Amino acid sequence: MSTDLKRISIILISFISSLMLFGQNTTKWLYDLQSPMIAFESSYFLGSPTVSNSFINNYFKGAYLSDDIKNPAFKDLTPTNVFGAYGNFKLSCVMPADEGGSTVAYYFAIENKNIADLKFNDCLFKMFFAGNKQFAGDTLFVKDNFMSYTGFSQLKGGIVKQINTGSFQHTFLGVLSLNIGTSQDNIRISNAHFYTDPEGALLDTKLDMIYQSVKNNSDSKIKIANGLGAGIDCYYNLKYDKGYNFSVAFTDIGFVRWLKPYSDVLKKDTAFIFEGIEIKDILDISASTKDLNKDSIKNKINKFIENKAYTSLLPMTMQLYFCGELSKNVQIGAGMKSVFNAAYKPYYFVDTKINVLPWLMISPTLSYGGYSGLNAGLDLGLNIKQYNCTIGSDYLTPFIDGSKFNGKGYYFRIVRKLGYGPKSFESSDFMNVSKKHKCILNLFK
Amino acid sequence: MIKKLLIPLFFVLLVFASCLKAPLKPSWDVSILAPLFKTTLGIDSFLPDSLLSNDTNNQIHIVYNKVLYSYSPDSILEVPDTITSQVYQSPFNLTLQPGQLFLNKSEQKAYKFGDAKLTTIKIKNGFLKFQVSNSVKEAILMTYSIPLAKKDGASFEFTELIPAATNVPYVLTKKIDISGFTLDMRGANGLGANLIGTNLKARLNPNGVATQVTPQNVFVTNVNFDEFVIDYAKGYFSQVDINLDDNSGVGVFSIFKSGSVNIENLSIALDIVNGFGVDAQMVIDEIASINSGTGQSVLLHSSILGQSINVMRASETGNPSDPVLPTVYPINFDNANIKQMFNNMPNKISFKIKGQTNPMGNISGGNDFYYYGHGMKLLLNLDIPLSLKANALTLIDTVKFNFNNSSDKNTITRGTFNIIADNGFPFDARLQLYMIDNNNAVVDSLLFNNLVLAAPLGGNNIVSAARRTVMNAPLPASKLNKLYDTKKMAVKVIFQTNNSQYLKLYDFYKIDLKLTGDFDFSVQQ
Repeated sequence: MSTDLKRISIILISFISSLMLFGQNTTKWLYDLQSPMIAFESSYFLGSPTVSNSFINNYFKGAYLSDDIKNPAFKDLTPTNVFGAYGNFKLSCVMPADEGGSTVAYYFAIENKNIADLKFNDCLFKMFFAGNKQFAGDTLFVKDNFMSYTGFSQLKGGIVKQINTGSFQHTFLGVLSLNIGTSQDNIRISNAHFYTDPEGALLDTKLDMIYQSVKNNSDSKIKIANGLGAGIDCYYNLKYDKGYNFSVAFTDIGFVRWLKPYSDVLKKDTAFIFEGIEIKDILDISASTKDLNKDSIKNKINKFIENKAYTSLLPMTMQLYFCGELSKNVQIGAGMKSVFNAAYKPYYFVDTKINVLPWLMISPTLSYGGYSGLNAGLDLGLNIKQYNCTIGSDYLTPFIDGSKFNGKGYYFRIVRKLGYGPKSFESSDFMNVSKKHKCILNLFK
Repeated sequence: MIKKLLIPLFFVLLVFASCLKAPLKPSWDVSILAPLFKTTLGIDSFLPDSLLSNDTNNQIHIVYNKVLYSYSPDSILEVPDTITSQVYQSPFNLTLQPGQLFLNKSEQKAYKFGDAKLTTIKIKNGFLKFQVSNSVKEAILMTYSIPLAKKDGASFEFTELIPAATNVPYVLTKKIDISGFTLDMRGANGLGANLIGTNLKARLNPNGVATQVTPQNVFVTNVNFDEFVIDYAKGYFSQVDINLDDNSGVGVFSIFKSGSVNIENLSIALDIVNGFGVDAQMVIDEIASINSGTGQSVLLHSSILGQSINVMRASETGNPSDPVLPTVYPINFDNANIKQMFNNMPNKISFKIKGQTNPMGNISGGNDFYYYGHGMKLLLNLDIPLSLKANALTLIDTVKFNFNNSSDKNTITRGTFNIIADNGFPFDARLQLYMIDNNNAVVDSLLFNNLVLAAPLGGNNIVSAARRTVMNAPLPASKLNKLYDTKKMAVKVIFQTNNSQYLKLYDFYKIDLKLTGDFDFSVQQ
């Protein structure tokens, strides 16, 4: 094994060992295509604009959710609420097509994404966590609520093209991806109501819903390929030599076709009034109670479930970012991120990058939207030799006041530069690969 | 090289995929209010439909018809077992040629059918069972016939080749179905009774060889009636004594376990139904109602007791599908203490009856008859219009119960059973449930805290609208655990009426019961 490959292996191992580190949801860190490099990044987020961090923390820790935890959470709910969580991992590299003067580079990435996306009204949440007794005599209406969890991996390959026109440098990236679906649970309730009689004598329910679930019950030890699909990413960056930079990116324009052996679909538009199991023979209650058995109910539901393939769209993401230099060491930027096919609300942010020292960068951030509300955060960047390492969070304010600020997320990224660029946070020109890394370039020839 | 790079990359991909965080298991409490069971109870829920009838005012009557005693023909007509027993033994050594007839025996014998003198029998079901033993060294062809046993105009005849003996006699046993045959038992001159004529022939196997027969060679034939059921019999059935000292179960009150009921009115009829073509004379000596639970017996006081009752014979209709017109002799119990007898809520009726068939002798000239299914019966017809007063009248029944749901066993932390009762009966009722475990031991009870209130009566003493009562029975943790182990539930309902007046029960009186659960569940995801 060559020295370079050994180093790659060391990086890989260090990445793997750091997988449990979670990174910030940061849309301001768009594609860095300016330098030949290998990068690993991971991001993790969990939050809701209306469900408190305390509640979410206790839920995910597996704690007992007492009334002291639930009641404050109930108070903060609005008629429509969202919740999101994701844990993403990405290993990418950018390599020029040849060793000198080229304006073309190759882009490769392996990504794994796990996304939970919920939209629900306050009554449904309260009923789920406190039961229906509180709604005795009332009708609970549910419209356009959903709960979706999707896990998938991607193998990506693309081409970077750089065009220089005077003061402007245009960078284009086109990426094709092979999507490998691992898991999905999706419940969408387009319309429902639920009435509880004041004395509990009847439940009146209307439910128009679709349920899709993927479970691999095969004997296979590796159960990751339960769906297959394709997608594209597009990226454009405009760099002006006066210090302005604009980027736009569309990622995950694609789909996963969940494969039949592992996918179940239940689509039901039904209305019923439940007044209890009807006992026709008072002298044989046991025959009736069999119907209340959990397995019996499960079997009845299973009758409606169809084992069939279906297609789901990936949550397509659009990102915009503009930044400009205020001075040699200070840069200010603003951007937004929007996710389609999801409960995610448009996310806006402004940030400032300050190169405090040649090897230290700090970047305070102010953001609003997404799966949380208003938040402030901070990134720290270290530049050590050919390595750039960034760690940070957009959600530091909930640590200060968890009652007013929600969301919990971290971000981690490490980049190994392979070019001749300056040993700083600035990118180098990817057309020039250092001599000692040319062997990596040879891998792609 | 690419391969070397792709291998670790693929490995990374696998690690990513396997790094999906398994959710931890939070828990929380939810309060669920939901219906569990519902049922509508009317009188028909406790008594079978076959016992209930409505009059023109829709008042419910309990109409109870019970055969207290059935007098079967076996008591009169005893069927003999053996009809033929023949033994052939050669007096000296002789050689029989193939086909040579060596036995031809016709006989007419009088058989005993109890004391009856029968002239005709039609066989509903039955067999002739042949047991034939052959010690001759050649097969014997046997023909057995009953010339006056006919079916579709043909006489009964049975032919069988009895295989040859080896070192031991060959024994053949065979049953021949004689269902549907009619036996004319008047004999050859047509004037007798109980006579059956038969013919038995035996010859050496026509396809065999000449065989020497010695005095040691025996040919034995026995013919019996088997599984014999008479479809029709005619003759003189003689004088047979009737002595009944028996009791019969009465299920109509069995669901009430304690308390008392005061019935406003009832009517009872005891019918003697005679489907026999014989006359009878009977005397009812005693009838009593017995409540085994309380040990109380109430004797009937009626002028009919001790009197001779002449029951005339049934008549033949000539219609094969309904051949008998029975004679019904109703016994009138007017002015008897019938009400007291049935306020005793008996589970048995005892009776002592004696009598005799054909008390005047053979006055029919041998034309007594019997058709299958038409015997003599003692029928109780009880009609109780449900108008009563109930005093702590208690209904208890045990029902199977299964609340066990092992996966949820520890999830209910508190609960209350609620009963919403819309009572359309003019009774108050108290409800209590007893939990019974696998060993049939009562382990606990659920007492609902108040009465199911009676529906108010309108001006015409009929319930105009149901009354709702909501009751609850708390289920503390101690009772919850027992509920999971409960295998049966004894349901106890105690009815109480306002004793100032009798209350009529109508078929539209119902009680709607809904059992709802108000439970706190501990949910673990």
